[in-house]
Amino acid sequence: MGSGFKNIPRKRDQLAKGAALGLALALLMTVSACIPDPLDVRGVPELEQKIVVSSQLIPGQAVAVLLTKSIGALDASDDSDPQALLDQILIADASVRIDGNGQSYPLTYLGEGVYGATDVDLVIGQQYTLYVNSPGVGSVQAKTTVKPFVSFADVDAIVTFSGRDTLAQITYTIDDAVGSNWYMVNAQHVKRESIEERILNPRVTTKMLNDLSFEGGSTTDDFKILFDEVKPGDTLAVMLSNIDKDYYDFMKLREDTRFGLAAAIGEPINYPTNVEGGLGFFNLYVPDVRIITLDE
Amino acid sequence: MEVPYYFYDLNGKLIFNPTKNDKLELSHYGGDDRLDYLRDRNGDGIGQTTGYHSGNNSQSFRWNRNYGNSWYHDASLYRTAYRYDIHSTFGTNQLLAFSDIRDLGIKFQVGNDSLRNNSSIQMGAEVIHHTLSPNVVNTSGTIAELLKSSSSRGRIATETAAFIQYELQPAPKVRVSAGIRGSAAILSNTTYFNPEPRLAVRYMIDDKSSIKASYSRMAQYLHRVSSSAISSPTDIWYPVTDSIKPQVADQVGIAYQRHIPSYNTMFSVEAYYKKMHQLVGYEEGTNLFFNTDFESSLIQGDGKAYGFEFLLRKQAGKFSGWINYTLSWSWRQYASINNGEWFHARYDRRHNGAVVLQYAFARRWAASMVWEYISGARFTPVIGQYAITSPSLTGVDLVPVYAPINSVKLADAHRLDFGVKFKSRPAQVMQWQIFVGVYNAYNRANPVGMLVALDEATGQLKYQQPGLFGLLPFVSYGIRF
Repeated sequence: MGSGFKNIPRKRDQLAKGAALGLALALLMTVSACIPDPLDVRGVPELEQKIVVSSQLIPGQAVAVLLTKSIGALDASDDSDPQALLDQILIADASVRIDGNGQSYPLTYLGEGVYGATDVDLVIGQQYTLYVNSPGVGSVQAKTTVKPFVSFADVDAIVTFSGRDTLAQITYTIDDAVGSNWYMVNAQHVKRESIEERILNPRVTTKMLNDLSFEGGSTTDDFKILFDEVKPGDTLAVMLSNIDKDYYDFMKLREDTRFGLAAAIGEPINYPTNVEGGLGFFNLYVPDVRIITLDE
Repeated sequence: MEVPYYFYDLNGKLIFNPTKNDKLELSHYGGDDRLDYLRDRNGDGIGQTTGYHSGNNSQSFRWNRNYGNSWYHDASLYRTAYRYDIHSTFGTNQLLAFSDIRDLGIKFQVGNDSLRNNSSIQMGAEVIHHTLSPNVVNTSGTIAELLKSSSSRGRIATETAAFIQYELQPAPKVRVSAGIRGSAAILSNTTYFNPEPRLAVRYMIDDKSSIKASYSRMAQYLHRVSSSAISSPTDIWYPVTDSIKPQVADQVGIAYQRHIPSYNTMFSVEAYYKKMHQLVGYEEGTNLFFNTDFESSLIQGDGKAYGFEFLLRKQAGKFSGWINYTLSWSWRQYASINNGEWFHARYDRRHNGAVVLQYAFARRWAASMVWEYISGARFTPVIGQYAITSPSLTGVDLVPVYAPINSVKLADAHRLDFGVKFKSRPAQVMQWQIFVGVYNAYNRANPVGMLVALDEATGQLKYQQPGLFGLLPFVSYGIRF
């Protein structure tokens, strides 16, 4: 008996605790039940798959063309495995040739979606046409004009302290080639791990300029590689390319919209292409590549 | 990811009758919405903080006076302010983009509703002083080298208008309302002027039904500019400038209305067509907020909207309420967008309706129910991407491919609210009421923002719209003295 009376307060406490716990659980369940399920967005149109062209003229007159196919919006991101993505999108079954200057040059498949030829006779100022036929994806063609090679008249880089960050600052001079020209200057902090990790959307600083203000003369400018701390001894790759106006316009649009939040909230745009029936760009230009080690 | 979100509204009104012919009103409204989140990829509490904040408030003073012989005046002085900002902090970098608009206005109107031969007249004038900062960017840290802070802040436009409207009954079954409003925007170098005529003719078919035809022209000196890319409430208001012209719209309508006295009920249906000129939109690829040369990205084009509106209303009795439904289309056309072809406006919401019912089941008790439905707005999703070699040749860049502009409809929004009201005895000096109910009774998401989620049925990723509030019980208490 006595022990029974003694237990009453303890039972009350237990009941109170149980009630409090029950109330808390009920409240939690009510609150969690009140978080509505997200709503699906329906009717998103499917992408029409197209052939994507990228090209590169390698010093020594070798031409390399990368052929891939477009993919769904949600099929890849910065975090995707680059090799798995490339395996998914590369085109390995295409017949590819370049016609120009009265000749036709077939390109050989080299693997990883790359087609190449070493015997293309490229004449500055001449127009060349790329023909691609993939049984799996379709056919496209693209025209471009060979641009003259322009090298840096001078280029250098230093370490600079901006007040918050230690950054690389590049100073360059360009002597303009004859005629109207459009230039692209790229700089990248070369780190083995970053190159391996950032194959998708690598962090490249790009400056676009045309020669309207210095036609036939020279221009000197400088810029910093932002958001990337450097130290003396680090290596930079700096490139100058003389490109055609179509590719210049494309890159200008890309530079305005490609980064982070700006890309997410910018107005939609479908970028121009010089590939008829496809996407990407067919270019024939040779970049001037400089590797610079940063001093103090 | 945590999503702390809150909002509040505060409003109040004081009404004072110094004489039996004068009525003074002072009112205030204020509200704020805040959303902040931290994107912390490494889980170390250090990441990118992004926030959205919007707030508006308004104050007005109104003086209404009756002079006898049915003449009256209505004068008001008001101020409104609206602002939103998006701020982001990552590392030592800070970025703030905001847009705000402040209006100061004065309006004076005189009228007489009982002139000879069942006619009436109203006339008045209004001046509004707009101060806008449509898109101000402030940056600090390394990002300031990439994106300079805006050098200019405010834009000022003064809008004036005068109007006269006369309503008469030229024949027993015909009533005509004709008026004209002249409006102007005065800038430092330019003045825009627009006459805005309006005409409405009502014909009584019998003592219960009528038809009405109307035409009106409207000019607007503040443009609402909407993005096609996102679904957050970040529209920007932009004033006319030397190069941005006013928006002008012409609207025609025809309506049929019928009263059913035995049920205290009214039914109406109206069809309308509206043509708009010099609407403002963005060029393709415009960087919306982080853009210090904003005006150069604005373009002007045309719009059209048409539709039908239905209304069934029961105004008296224990059981009252209404059902309204609008079926509408809204289109835009800009020379440099969508190859110059017409496309859906962002706010092209096909169906919009509500059912509002109230039942007074006792002298001091009433139950009510509101069900609202609105079709989703339009947006332009990324539907694909492709890889091209990066300019440095050390990798590949992923380039997005967009759907045709505004071609996809966001999820529809609908919800059911219901409640019970208990009020004080009618004889009491201080009147009060308690309203208890449930908001969003079936816990449907009210869409905000966009996210990408895994579709477990297909294994594919898909777009989803999360909602901030689901079922929400509420209690409100109001007093009037």
